[in-house]
Amino acid sequence: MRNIELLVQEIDKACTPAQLIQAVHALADIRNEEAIPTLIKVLGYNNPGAAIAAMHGLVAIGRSSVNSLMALMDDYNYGARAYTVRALAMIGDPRAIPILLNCAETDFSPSVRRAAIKGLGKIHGEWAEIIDYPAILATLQSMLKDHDWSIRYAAIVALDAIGKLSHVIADRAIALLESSKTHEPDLAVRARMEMALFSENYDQYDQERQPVSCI
Amino acid sequence: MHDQQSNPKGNELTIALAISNLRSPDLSLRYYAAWWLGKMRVHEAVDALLVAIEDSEDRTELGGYPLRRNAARSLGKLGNPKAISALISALSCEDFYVREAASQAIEEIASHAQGYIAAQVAVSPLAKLLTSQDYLDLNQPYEAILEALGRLKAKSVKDLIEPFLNHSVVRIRLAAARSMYGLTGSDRFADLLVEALANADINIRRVALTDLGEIGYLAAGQAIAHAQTENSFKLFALKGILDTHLPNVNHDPELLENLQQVMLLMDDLL
Repeated sequence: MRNIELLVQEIDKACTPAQLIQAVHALADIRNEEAIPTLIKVLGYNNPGAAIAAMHGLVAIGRSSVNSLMALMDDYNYGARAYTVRALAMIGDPRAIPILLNCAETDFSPSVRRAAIKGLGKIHGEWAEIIDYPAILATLQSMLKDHDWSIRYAAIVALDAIGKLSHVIADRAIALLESSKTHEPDLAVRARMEMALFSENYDQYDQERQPVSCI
Repeated sequence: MHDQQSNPKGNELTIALAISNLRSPDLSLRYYAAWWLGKMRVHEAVDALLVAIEDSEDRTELGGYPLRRNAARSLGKLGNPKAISALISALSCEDFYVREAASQAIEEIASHAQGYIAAQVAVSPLAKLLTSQDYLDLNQPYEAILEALGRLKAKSVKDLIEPFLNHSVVRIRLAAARSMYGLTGSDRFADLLVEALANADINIRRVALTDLGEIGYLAAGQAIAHAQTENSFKLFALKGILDTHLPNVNHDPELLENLQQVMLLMDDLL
């Protein structure tokens, strides 16, 4: 039996949560595309340690995981969806944008929505595809008005990240943050806005656009 | 019977209907209305709920008062200090869950500035519930009582609270730690909650996270971020820290920097 089949068997045979985690790590470490279906299955297991290992494994495999991940988004299992969204965000493939946009606006689970919103800030054009920034900004703008503080918070984090990707987008992101600040009722959310705006303004004067991670 | 009154589901319930349902001949409609009015934060329902909290018609087979329980819970959500005296009376109810709901409601009302002062009169009645002969029994809703006394900063009864730090039930020990932190501001009580973040039982870890958020213990940031629970509990706990300390940042750059670190921890949990 080939190595990968043995590794998959170890996952099926695992009797304790710890055994499962170990087996998933072993499969993830080989970074083999054939592991994708099994790693995807693990995302839906009720074992956060295993799911996280599987998620990192899929991210390490990279772009070839994206189609399988996108297919998972109809899953009823909100835990699996949350890890799927995070994996798509970390891989950063622009093909995932429509899914992230839809998820941000319509998913039932706040944790999935937050991951999707944050993910919108991470998608980058490494493969020189055209990214629909207007669509992303429009969604983030609407998220800034959500009733749930954690959704508004996630939108700010995404705008903060997007603003560091390009000057053109930064202006738009700053404008959105500035205009929302005045009627943001929550103290903590406002503080995150201020932190984002302060770092954006700091960057405006900095030729090399170094990311600022703390003030 | 009118169609709407025979369907207790939320979509068709209006404020006026819910308030009038509190006196419906159908006891299940009363119960549902009492819950709904709190969930929907219907402030004009306070007076009607103050009547419902004395209801004697809705009883369980074991002698409980379900409508009173829901009325107390909703009065807590509405946060109106005028409910304090009725909630204090409810602390004498023979139904454990009514006493528990009333204690929790007092704590909630006291968590708002205007309620905090009005609720101080509840300290003594709450403390009386702690003085059973054997504090190790479970006849009182100790968690709720201890948390309320902590919120009220009831230093006068510190000696009654302290023994509960050694209670056999973990959750009650955590409530005592949270309460003692509220009374004394001493880190060693908050540290008991931080220790509980490593408890083998995920339910205890979640309770500890909630408590740390409620007391806003700044030093717990990293421990919270790395706790083995769902991210949402950790996010809310960290937000509690922000809510507690942000009002004080104006003349304190070091505090601001610490809170920015908390926000970066929150970012990673999204």
